[in-house]
Amino acid sequence: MSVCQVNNIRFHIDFASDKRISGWIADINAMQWPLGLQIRLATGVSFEVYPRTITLRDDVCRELNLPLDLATGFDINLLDLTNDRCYQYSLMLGDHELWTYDDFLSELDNEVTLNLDIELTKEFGERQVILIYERNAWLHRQLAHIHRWRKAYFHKGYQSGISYFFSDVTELVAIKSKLLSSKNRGILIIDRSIHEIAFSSSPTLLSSWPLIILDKKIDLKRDFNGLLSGIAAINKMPNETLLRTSQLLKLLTSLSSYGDLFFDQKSDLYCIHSGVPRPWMQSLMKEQIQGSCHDDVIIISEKPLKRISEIEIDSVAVFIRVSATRFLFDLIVAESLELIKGAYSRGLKVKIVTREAP
Amino acid sequence: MILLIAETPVAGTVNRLAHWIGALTGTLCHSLILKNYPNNVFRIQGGSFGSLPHWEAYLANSVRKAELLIIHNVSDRYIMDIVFSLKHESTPIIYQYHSPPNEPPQYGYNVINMYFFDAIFAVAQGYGRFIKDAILVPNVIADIPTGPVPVRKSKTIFSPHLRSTIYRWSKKFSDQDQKMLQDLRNYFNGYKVQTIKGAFGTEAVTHEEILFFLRSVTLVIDDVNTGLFHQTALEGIKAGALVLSGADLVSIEEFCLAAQSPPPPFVNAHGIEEVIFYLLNLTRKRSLHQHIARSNSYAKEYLGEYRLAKRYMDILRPYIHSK
Repeated sequence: MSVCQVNNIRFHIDFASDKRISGWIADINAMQWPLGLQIRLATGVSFEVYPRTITLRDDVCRELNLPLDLATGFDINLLDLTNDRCYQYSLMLGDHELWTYDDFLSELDNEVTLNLDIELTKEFGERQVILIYERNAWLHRQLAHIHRWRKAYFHKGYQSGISYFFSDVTELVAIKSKLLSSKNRGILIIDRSIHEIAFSSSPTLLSSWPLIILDKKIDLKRDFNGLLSGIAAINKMPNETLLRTSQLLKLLTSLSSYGDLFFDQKSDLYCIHSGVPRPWMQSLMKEQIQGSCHDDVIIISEKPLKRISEIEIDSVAVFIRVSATRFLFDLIVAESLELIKGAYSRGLKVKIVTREAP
Repeated sequence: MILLIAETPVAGTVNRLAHWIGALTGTLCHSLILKNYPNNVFRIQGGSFGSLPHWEAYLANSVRKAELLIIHNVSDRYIMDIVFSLKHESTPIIYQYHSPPNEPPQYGYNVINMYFFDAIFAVAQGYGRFIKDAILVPNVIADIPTGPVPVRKSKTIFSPHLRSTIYRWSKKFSDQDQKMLQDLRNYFNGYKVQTIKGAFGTEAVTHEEILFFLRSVTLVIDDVNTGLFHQTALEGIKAGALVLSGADLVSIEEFCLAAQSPPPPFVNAHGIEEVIFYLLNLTRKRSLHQHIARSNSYAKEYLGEYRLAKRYMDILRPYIHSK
């Protein structure tokens, strides 16, 4: 977004979404806040930009030679203001439209494929990705766009042996028994808008396969098993990255680029994450491995632990099962306490082995 | 007026909280509960508003009058639409949840995603881990009523699990776990395994009846599979029983922070194998009695209903008349 001029008005939108808009604006002739500034929704309802949402922006005032104490910034929580998400709205000065936000148009350049009559990849294999989209919705459009560009893009031969199967909920119901009877557990990706419907139709499948819930924007706050956080870390995608076609493509193909990370689930090898394993720790860990342990994270501690805050990082060694690293990939370089908390909140199996009997 | 809204009695919590918030603030506090559980396990004080022919209007008018709203785990967006379209702009609204993600009824916490809340409260039994910045609140556990004489303890192991699911965070005690327990029932040194149906002859039992029965129980088996713990675990301690629980470090930490207490005296049992191992070695009576004594003194000091309600109020108070 660039600096725009409307006669004597200067403004800039620093950030805009369906929930929030922030930036600055000034009337440089009158040297004041432009009177009558409003947010107008697509429904025609207008809201005056309240004085309480105006803030000081001395960087702007300095640049425009305005008094430094002139309030020029604004930061409006649209959810607060309208009690709803605002997919279309304009910044108005009187009857003059200064700037418009349109959730649909902002993505149109990537969604030119309105004809969705194209067959999407449907392959089965040992290393499986199943993606469930809502018919005619954003994810379907993006996938159709990719397939129109190159039909065989998701072919197993191009994607390091990973099989992609794109379907809507109806097809999911048709294939679920085949997937459940398969020895291999793949990765299931579902559009958030049909998560509940998909769950109702295939609860066993959705609760037994690792699940990624996709939204138009990456939502790491609602990533409950860590898979999406790992993929976002691999692709250096921050939270709330808008999944345009190219980003979606990167996200999906990182599952094949890092196939061994995401699909090698048979390994019961452990690697050390943190701590200095003293001989007694090594011996306890050896016992665990020999006893065919299947826990994802093992904490070897000198003393019995009852709560997280009792963990003394210097007196524990943390081991991760190699096959569980896909759920913790973004935390591998984190402090051990953060990794342990992540493992607990992502539902991994954590075992505490102590030197002293509890 | 403070208004609590829920779709179910939430194990009696909603009525109980309404009572305590009213008592401790001196402000009028009402709870609106849509409907009861199928077996009417919890008595809904004041009735369920879902039975009214024009319940939407009743809800709407109540919301208009509210000065603070606390929504308890509601996942029905129709109810939320009524609440948000009619609540006054300046009325603070809090969402309190106690259900895990990626399974019914919360799925991806869609209500929290779609509506703006002034605060998100998580019941401090392990649920705080799912939403960053959620504020931990203790579950206000009811005091167990005393009778004319103390109830004598029996050699009972109580396994009060009714519904078993396959979901990660709800498979507290599976059907296979229950079967394993039954198969080995003759080897627990004379202790008898009881389920709700076994003890009462039916699963349609009220909460009061279960609380009364708990006083005679020596051991309670709570969730041993998920890492969370549940109301039954704390009720077991209050009833002077030894509680086997698979609560993990995060769940215990949450409870300690919210209740401002040391860790509850659960006996750790992660998975059915550890439960069986403990039960097969139930011969050391002294250790068992020591555990029960620990439960009793912990309950007396930290789990009193009034104390927990006061802790809850300490956390809620900043939102009362906050705007």
